Amino acid sequence: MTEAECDLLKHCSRGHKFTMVCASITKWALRGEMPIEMRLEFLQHLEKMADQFLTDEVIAIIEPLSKDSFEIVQEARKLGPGKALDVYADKFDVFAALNPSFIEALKRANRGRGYARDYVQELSDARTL
Amino acid sequence: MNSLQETSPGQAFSALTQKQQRYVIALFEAPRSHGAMTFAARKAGYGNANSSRQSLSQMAYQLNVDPKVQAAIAEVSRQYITVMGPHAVRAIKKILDDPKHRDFGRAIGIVMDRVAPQSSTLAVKVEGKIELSARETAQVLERMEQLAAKFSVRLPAPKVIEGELA
Repeated sequence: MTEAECDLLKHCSRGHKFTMVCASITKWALRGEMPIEMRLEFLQHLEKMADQFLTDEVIAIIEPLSKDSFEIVQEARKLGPGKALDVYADKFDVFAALNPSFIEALKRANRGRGYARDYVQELSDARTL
Repeated sequence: MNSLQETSPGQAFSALTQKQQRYVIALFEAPRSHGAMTFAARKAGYGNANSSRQSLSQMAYQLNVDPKVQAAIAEVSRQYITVMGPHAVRAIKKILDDPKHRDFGRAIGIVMDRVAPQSSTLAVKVEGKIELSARETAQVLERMEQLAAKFSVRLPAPKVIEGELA
């Protein structure tokens, strides 16, 4: 992970971090077999996660949880629902390293913001140089 | 009437005067249905030794149209029927014990109706229900596809049973 990408993570709110992890978990769950009603409920959860920063487009970029990430999630769940979200936010850099789609999603989310748009441009320029 | 007196008096019965209470009880103790009200009025202490049957009948009529007395009669009737339950069961049992009894068959019918009541089948408009359910399912599937496309979720292929979606 580059320094610029680390900065992106640093400037992301905790709420958005764990929401992104939750979206990834939801997408992972949707791969399995389940009744239609439950599947619809999971998809509607994804819809509820969207806001002005994490738009539908951003959530669409997020890939389902990888096997290694799933192990972290399982461990975090043992702490209880509230604490698990804290772990998702605290260890977001690990999740991002295991699932690069989080970084891509953050870049897309920041494009919508004025100051961030310039920052992302700087990142791109720095890479090309 | 002993069995009735063993039960606790109800609210409507308790609201009556003692004389009225005696009248209500006496109605159930009358030996015949004809003249029962006159019998009850006399037994409850209405009128005097010289009162004619006609005057006692008028007194009984006045009592019978009193809503309080009517409520008490209804209440005592319910209690009476309840306490008569065991007697009725014993009577039916007695008939069932005697296959030669003329009402043996009827008694069996009464018991069987209560032990294994006849079930009736109600025809429901199944066609409409299925149509509605299928439409709802289609709507749900369509909604799921929309959401899945929106969030780039790859859904597993739907199960197909005998050429139809499960």
